[in-house]
Amino acid sequence: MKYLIIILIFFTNNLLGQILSGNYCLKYPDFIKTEGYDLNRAAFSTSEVRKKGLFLNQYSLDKTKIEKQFHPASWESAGFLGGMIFDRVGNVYTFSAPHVNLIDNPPIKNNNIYIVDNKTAELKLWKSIPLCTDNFDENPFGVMGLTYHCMAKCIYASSISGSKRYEEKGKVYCIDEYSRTIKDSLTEFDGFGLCVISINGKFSLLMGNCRNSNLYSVDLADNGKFISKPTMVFSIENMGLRGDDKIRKIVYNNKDNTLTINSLEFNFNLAAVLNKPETNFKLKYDLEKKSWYRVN
Amino acid sequence: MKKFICYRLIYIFLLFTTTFINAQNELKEAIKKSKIGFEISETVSPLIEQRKAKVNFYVKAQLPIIPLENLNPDEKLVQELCFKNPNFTKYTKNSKGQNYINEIFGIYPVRPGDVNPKLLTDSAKLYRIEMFNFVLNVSTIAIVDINTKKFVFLNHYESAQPDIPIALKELAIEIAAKNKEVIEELGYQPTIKDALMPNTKTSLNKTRCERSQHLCVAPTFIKNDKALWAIVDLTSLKIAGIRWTNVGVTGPSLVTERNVQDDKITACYCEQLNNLKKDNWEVNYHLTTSDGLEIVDVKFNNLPVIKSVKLVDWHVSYSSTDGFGYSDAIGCPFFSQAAVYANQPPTVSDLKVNNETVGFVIDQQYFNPGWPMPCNYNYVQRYEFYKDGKFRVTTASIGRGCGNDGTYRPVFRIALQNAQGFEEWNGQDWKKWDTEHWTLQNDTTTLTKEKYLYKINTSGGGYFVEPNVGQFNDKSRGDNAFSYVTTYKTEEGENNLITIGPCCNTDYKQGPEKFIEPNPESLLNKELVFWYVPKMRNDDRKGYEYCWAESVLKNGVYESEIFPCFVGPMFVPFK
Repeated sequence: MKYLIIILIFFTNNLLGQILSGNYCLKYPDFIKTEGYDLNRAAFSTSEVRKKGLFLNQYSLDKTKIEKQFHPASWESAGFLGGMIFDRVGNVYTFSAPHVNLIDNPPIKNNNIYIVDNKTAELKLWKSIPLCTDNFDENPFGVMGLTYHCMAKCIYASSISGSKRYEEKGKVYCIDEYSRTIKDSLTEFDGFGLCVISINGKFSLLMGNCRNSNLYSVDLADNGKFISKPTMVFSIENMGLRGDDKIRKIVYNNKDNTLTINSLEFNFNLAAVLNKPETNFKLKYDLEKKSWYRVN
Repeated sequence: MKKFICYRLIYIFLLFTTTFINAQNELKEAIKKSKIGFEISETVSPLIEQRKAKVNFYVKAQLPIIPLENLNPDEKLVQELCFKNPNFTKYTKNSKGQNYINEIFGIYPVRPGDVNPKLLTDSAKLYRIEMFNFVLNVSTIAIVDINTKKFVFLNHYESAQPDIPIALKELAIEIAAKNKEVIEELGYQPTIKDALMPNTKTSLNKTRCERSQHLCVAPTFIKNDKALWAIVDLTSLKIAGIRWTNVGVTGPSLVTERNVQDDKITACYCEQLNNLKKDNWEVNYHLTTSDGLEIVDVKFNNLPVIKSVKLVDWHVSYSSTDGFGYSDAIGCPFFSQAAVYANQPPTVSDLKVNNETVGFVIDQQYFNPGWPMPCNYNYVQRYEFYKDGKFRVTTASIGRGCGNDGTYRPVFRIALQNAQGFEEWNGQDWKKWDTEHWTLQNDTTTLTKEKYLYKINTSGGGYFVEPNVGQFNDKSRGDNAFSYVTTYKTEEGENNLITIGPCCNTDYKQGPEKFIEPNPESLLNKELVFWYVPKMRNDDRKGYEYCWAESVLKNGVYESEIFPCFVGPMFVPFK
């Protein structure tokens, strides 16, 4: 089976410019349909104004307003949440992410990853990554980003738990999808947005960093483990409205072969991101020069 | 041989470690020596005065655009055509017709990349013109065919700044080179030639004024292996920051308005305790990661008075939406839990009453970068120390928040030295509190004739607590505070406290009650802590503004008009 997937990926890569997103197998949850939501007009959100938790919004046909909203009680139980990812089954994963204060997101829960069941839509704790400190004065944050690796059957999570101003103590974890055990970890790296891609059949994890505006890449083995040190592959320093944004979200689009980088201001504090819009950068990969270049 | 290699390796390791530590120390020293805008004097020079006069003239003109001078006839025609084009001048005024300040930055023949090559015909004579709006940070770019007198292209770009003209480049160097603090740092008066990279646009290249959103450039002066950056704000004609960096092999590293501010505040006030001796007071103070500016181990006449005073939370609720509001922590700019953070160091100034200096004040300001735009906050903490031993713990909101129906509740934690008894005035007599307790001061509360409400007993005397009922000449509308007394426990706030209460409780549940309920402890023979939670309601009515701020267009640029609402009690010593 594994070899069949490799062959398929290799074949698909050759057809589609030899680059493929690592979450190619993702599936949207069954509960979207069973709850009566239209997949083409529905979207998940964890950044509703003045509201905490996860929301499933269905937009009007002209996409100007929210027509209806799904928000069961359990979706609010983990406080404010960060970004979300999907697995091959249709489960949704998200994580605790403090917003303005720590009332709904006590620091001891900020290394928690939650799962929303594909069928029942219930939000439950999936994995509590061990905290690296019990002193949260300088840094109340934990998990900052997630991504799913179809072939290696694992979820990557970046966490900055324990990091301090003069000590970069963050880790990027590779967590087995089924056993929920930590298969491998990358240390002393304050990772932010994550994305697995395959270039010419070789998988790598692209990573933002909470301390700088650089995009990093680390090579992955077939089983998802890290086999190199992070190397900088692009930088958005001095780009955009502020010039020192950090890379929060990374998405590779298999259809147009572009990598979308979503960046925002982040300075290890709880200042609201109000009036500070995110910036989008679109990159493409030059296979000959083996480097990323900006296209927007 | 093995021994030799071993020694060699140890030597290399020690050399590397020493070099690394030295570099770190040098960086810290440079950060501590850096200067933030308000610490830097204004440069005085005829060129700056000329510029101010020019801005004043054009900001009052019918068309508030500073034109480019010394133009050839073609360039002059381009400029005139643009000034007559309503689309080109679209953003030169606000919706009320008030003038912004704008300037033509450049006019030049189009380059191949500026326009579709098909338009570059023999019959066309195309010029590109660039205008900058200093308030909106908008660039207007047009391409004009002077043969047909038609616009080939016209667009407005937000958050974009064109290359600055030579006149502004020279002005930036003048502001930096003739500045008192720059000269002091360099040890000599630099010439124009000494400035490097003066035409680097700070928003696009090597530095930015992220907080003021002003047009800034950074003349940089090299001295030995160091570079002195002077971040010149070309909107306010002032220096926004000064900082030394190592030149290194690849040139100076990035210096911006924000990192000069944040690095210095962190190094000097978050990472170290500051000691101040003045008017027989000795005050130690530092910025915390979420409890504001804390004063610790304060003495008066060499006797210990205050163990610690800090501001642990700001609760802001809005009555129009049930449960809507924020619980903000204030503190250090980064690596903190602060939602509203310090953007300048604490300041010490004289405390004056009727033009007489009666003591001194320590002020600390906090802000959200978008303030005073809606949903951004600005708070100030103020400690007043009087020569006669009184002290006042105060704070204010300077708006503007998310609406005109906001209620602010700051949460003070006040731990006096050896505080071992608490009494409340009941209208006739002092009544001692025997157990942990809370109370609310309201319109019916009776004060003593001196306006005291509480008495905190310490060894050898104590302090009367005089709540603010508007008697302190700061336009305050009173404290209306919840007061709590708890026994002193390390885990109840000696260290930094994370958010202790939600935004929107209107009753006594503001956070400190957690240390009382469910079983209030006896206060007898215990050291106690006094918690004080005043309440202020904001007001945006013209002439009655309170906890409020407005952006006002003055001389073509926006300035903040502020209406703080100070609250907080006075502590009056008794023997």
